[in-house]
Amino acid sequence: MTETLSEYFLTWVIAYGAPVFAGILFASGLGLPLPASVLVIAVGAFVRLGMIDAAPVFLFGIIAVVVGDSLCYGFGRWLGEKLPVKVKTSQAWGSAQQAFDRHGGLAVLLTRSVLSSLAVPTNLIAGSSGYRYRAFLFFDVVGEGIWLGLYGGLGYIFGSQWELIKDSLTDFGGLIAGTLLLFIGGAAALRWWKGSLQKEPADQPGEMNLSQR
Amino acid sequence: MNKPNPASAPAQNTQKRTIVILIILAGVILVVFFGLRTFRTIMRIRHMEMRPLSTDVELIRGWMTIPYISENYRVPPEMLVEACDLPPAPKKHENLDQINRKIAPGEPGTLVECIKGAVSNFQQSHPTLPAKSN
Repeated sequence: MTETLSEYFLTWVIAYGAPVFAGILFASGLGLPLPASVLVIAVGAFVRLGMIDAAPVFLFGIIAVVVGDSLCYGFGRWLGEKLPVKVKTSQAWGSAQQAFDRHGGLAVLLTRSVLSSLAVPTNLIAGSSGYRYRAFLFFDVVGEGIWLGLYGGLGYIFGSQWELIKDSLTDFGGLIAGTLLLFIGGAAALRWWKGSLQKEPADQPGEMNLSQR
Repeated sequence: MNKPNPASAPAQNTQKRTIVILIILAGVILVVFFGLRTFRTIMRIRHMEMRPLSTDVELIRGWMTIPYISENYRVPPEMLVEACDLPPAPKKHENLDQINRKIAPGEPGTLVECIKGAVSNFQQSHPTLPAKSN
């Protein structure tokens, strides 16, 4: 069978429009590995070509994906409650919760748009770490709105030539992931370097060792 | 506070340093690889003529349906059905690849080529047909 999954969905979207599109986004929000980003670009192109109306497709799409994300978050919360008390009261768990409280909004926002492959783990971590649902919902709606607007907008700009940019999605995602790794590695290296500079002038007993940090 | 084992500290440091170096290295590889590909795509798009409402037959794909092609390329569906000897009323969600498997099993892509030819002929015989507008 030469037909790929995205081609199969494309056919159904052009045949039945917004309800099918919303169903696919809902399932992808739940965590099913579906080619949602490709479909969003294609739908933008279909809007440009006059095959689909923009307003219902955007409205149905955003509601569906946010409901899917919220259910995934809820599943994460349920999993978090099932964790053994020993884990939940551990120092590492506490630090992870604090870290998500500090940077969770940005994580949710980024994983809705440019790092969408990390959306499901982020939803699960947000739920299980007890991240506030209202904050999650806010960043989720904003992030998904950006995703639909950005990718759909690209499809709209390219119209019938939308397939030209379809393949570059993976490249762009890889570029962002690489930049993120460089940022994380660079920040760790900088911390390290600063630590060793502080250590050098007073390399005597009582001074904090790097391995204690 | 636990006192660190002085013997294991250098080993831990080396391990941490290796992880950081590996993260940076992976980042560099990803940025270079995907950056070049993204750059190439951008260059290709810059040198391309943007025609978002193009009705170029080369853009016809196997996932498209007869109603979609008919609407998008402004060709009467009956003409496509007749030109490629298709069953009279294909299902709404039946695409060219699926119809192809029914009418010409073992010959993938023949229907797409037939439709391209039919649309092209129609476009040549109706050059004054209004283009799609926003």
